Amino acid sequence: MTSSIAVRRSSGAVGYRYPISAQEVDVHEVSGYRRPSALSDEDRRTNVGASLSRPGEKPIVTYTRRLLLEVGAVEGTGLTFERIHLLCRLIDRISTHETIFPAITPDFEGGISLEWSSGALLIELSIESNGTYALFAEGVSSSSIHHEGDVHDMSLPSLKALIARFTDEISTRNPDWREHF
Amino acid sequence: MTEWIRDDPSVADDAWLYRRIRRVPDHYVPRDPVTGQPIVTLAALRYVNDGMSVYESDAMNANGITSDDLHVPETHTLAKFTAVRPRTADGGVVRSHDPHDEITARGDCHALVRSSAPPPDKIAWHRIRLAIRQELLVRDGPSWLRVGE
Repeated sequence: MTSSIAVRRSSGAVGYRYPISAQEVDVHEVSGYRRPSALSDEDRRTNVGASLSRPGEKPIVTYTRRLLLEVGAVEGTGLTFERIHLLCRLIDRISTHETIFPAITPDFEGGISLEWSSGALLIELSIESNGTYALFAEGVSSSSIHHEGDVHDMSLPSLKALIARFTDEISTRNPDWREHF
Repeated sequence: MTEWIRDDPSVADDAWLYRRIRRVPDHYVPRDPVTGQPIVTLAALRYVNDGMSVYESDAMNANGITSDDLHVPETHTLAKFTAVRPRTADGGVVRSHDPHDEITARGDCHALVRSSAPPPDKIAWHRIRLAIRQELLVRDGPSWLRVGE
């Protein structure tokens, strides 16, 4: 029998729906949700990652979706299933198949921060539950960057270029960066 | 209107300020993609309501509280930095007893990192976060690991 998946509605209530595809059932069984800490490193890199990936999908999207779903499953983060979907769509638009994975931090009010950083290099994109964003970047371009506003007014090509520059620099310093994620 | 207090000079520059950072999910440790070392994200240095919660070392010494009393390795990362760090970016530290702490002595060690005005504009708080992260250590077993730039 196919298990249902717990999802948090925008109202904050927890509802249940049946998975879109069998890929989702592997990890998100409601009755026996497997905490990632119970999975081996090999599971995480192969089976779990593979069960969540979709054909042709960028690795950063697969990785971030998995992590966002885990964040959303934590009580109090306020991260809804709908918002996770929108975040994954955004990440898809600002990335390539080579893009470095971000670090993710919830604000416990339904918002999320994505951070790409190493040493003095930093890109931080924070998106709040009210649909506003803040972008900070240090060391990635000729001067510090700060932008704020409505997420619909965000310049995606500029952001994509910024992340590409970060990726180029990091990939040069450590081509095997994926082993740290 | 209550006067906004940005900084308490009685908190020494070299006093340690301990920050408990909840890991979400609890197994997740973000890492530097070049070195593989754990990082503390800027978003983990979060300003909420009237400041960023920390515990101050001189008060801890006076109240018999150690970093072990703050450390919950199963779910939290414990980080520390000196009080001078936010001050270099026009921030400050004020003592602020936490009445909700079930351990009264620990609540007496609570403090807040603040900016020059409430609520902080994002740029001002960003500068303070960067200054803190330049010299940040995280608890790694019995030791402390430097994670700053």
